[in-house]
Amino acid sequence: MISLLQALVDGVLNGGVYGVIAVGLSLVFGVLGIVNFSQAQFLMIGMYVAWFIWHATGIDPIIGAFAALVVGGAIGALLYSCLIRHVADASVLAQIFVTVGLIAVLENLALIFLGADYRSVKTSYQTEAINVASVLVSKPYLIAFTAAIIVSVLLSLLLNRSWLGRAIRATAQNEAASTAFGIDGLRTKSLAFGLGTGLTAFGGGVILPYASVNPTVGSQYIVLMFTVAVLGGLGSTMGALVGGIIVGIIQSVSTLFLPVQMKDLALFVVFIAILAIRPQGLLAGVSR
Amino acid sequence: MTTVLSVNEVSVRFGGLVALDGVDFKVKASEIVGLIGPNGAGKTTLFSTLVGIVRPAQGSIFLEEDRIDGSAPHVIARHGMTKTFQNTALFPHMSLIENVMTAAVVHASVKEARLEALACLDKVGLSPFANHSPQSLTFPQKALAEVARALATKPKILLLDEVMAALTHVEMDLVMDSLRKIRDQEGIAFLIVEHHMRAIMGLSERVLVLNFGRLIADGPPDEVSRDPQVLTAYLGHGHA
Amino acid sequence: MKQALIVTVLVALGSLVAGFVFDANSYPIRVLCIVLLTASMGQAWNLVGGFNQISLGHSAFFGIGAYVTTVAQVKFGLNPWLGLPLAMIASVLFALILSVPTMRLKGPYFALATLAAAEACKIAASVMGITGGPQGLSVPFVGDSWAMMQFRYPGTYVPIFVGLFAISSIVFAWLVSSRVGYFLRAVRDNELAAEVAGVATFKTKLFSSIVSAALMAVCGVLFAQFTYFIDPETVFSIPNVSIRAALVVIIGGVGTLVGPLFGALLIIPLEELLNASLSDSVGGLPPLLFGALLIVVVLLKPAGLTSIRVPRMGGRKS
Repeated sequence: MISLLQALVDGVLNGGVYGVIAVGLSLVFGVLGIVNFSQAQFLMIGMYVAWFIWHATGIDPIIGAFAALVVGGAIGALLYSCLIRHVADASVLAQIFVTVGLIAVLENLALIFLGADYRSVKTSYQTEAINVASVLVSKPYLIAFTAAIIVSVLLSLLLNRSWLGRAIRATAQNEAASTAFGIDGLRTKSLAFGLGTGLTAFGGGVILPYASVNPTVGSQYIVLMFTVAVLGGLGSTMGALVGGIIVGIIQSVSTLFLPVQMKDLALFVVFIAILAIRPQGLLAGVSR
Repeated sequence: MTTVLSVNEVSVRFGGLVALDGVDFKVKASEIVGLIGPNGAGKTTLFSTLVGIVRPAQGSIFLEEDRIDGSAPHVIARHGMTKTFQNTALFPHMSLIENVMTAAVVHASVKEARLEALACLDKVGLSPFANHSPQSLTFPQKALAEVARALATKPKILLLDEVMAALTHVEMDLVMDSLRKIRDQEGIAFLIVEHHMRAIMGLSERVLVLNFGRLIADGPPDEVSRDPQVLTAYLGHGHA
Repeated sequence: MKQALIVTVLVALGSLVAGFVFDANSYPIRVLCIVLLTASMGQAWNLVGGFNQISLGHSAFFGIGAYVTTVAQVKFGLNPWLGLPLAMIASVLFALILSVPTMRLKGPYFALATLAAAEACKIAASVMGITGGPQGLSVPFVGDSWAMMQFRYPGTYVPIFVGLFAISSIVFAWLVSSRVGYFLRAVRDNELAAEVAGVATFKTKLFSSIVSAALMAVCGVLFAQFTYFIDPETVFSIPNVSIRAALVVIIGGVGTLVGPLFGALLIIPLEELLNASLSDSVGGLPPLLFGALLIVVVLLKPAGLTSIRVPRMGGRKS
């Protein structure tokens, strides 16, 4: 019973972070209608940014994650305005393979310039845990989860209360009309894309205390991210968070009775099942 | 005359919206029936339901003796009913004749299908454009091309969705002649949606009127055009 | 199409001749074999990708093919020629099972589902005992043997790879010019209109994915027999198998008969050249270049790099 409770706690804490990692994917699809297959590479970018900041200054990756958000966001916005915006009226093939091509470009740029070695951080609280009624609440998980929740709340405020958020939602719903009101479609979309990639990069910084980074780390997370986003409904930011928690729980509970290597297998089966049964997700499209 | 299409108390709902409400009518073999109604009355929904894109919540649809509601569109097409698309849905990366052949190869070899396709194009007067791409056709030509493709499915009844929308009176008369000829030679029945009264009155032996998903009239054209319910539907209260 | 067929036949014949003329153990011959294999993998992908069913999971079929014959050889002593039909059947079964949840999915959703399925296969192969786990399996080396589909030097493999290439091209050409070809093109252009016109769209898509899966499995089998060693990371690799197969087709010309060949002829020698002349520290350059090339082609010349010289199938200029 304790181990189930432990698994649930771990699942929820991890899941909140998965939610923030995947919410960017969901946002991009909801606003721009494209599936960014290279989203996981922004996780990698975020992890590296936070790592380098920690390596140079000793600043905790959770703080570094905010810098990662900016860097990941800037790269994303740039890529959108130069490249990705052209797929809006292109074929399905183009829409898929532009971002698929980016996977190789981003991964191998990292490989060439940063090398293939795994890098990790050392923080004071890395191996500590709080004991709550015999359930060990891992400190790095808890801190990451808290940061994730804070950012989610900020995101929600941004989308619903700020001018940028309104511009994003307006452009998503009716671009022609928004342009008539003076909203620059390209700028708004680039910012929206950047926000999406930035959030995933933030997630990267936040998990660094308990995960290591190397150029290919993205491929470990890609299906997980998509499962979370699709589960919650591509386009629903609230859904991504709920989806994240559900996925986190599925993952950690499945390790109770499956060999560790198979925890992702359970996830993939769930993913395909969701796509088959309810592709619009459990909380179907809120922003689109 | 045998009944080719029998629509029995068909209702269609989209969530809470009732798109079709107890629609009930029959079409006989070789009959030309017009379908009119204000915008949003449910004409396109009816067509989509008849060819199997939409499933009725209640009621049944029979094509001759076969019950077809709930069947996939390709099954219904092979049984003998298909429709044209209002915004034309020709296959953009195939030539006109290949478009028509696609429907024909369902029941014939590629060689035979080519001959059939040429014949269908001929019936609508598009033979000279057989090797053209759909993008090079005018909108009226595309509408006729859809008719040709529909003919290639060897239908017993054809549902035409505003194929004469962009035509001049002269062109309209030509198309109406072609349709009458097809009906006379092949024995195909037609259910035609048109907004031009000239086409409806000129072609239809019978007219159905749909309003808010309900069939409010079913009779010969001159009767229907004087029906007070129909006039109210189109012009509002106080005009009957 | 006629020009494309002629080019295909010439390349096949030319390869056979090269196989006899060049030293069996030479590097160019080895590259030739890989080009033919990659072109065939591309052709398998082309059967579905060329008709708008964009799959990112073809590595599943490749890996299943490679593992079925290798496991059959290692554990049961089954000759790979007999294992080949088994590999095809296993691959087709997987395609059938996968079709149930994925058939109604469109575009990126479909691609995502195939990606997940391929990743699932990779994991399954890593944890199952019978597949040798993450360390992989070796094909037992018996020396030159037609019976066991293995030879000491690449040169002797050339006829087999030419055969694979020829079969994959014939299958594609036949499929496209048959009645099914019309259905596939119609489903690609407008699935709803095709359905209303009488095309059984589900059956059509299923048919092409089964043929594609079977052909891809054969490629996997030949890969195993050629390289003597398989492991989950290699044969179920998304970038090196799934995306590679799509890459050569997209660059060469999607939906065309010779697209995969031209793509392979460009990519493989280029990759070998770069790997040979660059130091290890920039080992990521070829994949980087190919990723960039993929993006450029897809945005600027979606009909493939060869669309300028080689007429598209059907001879229609759009």
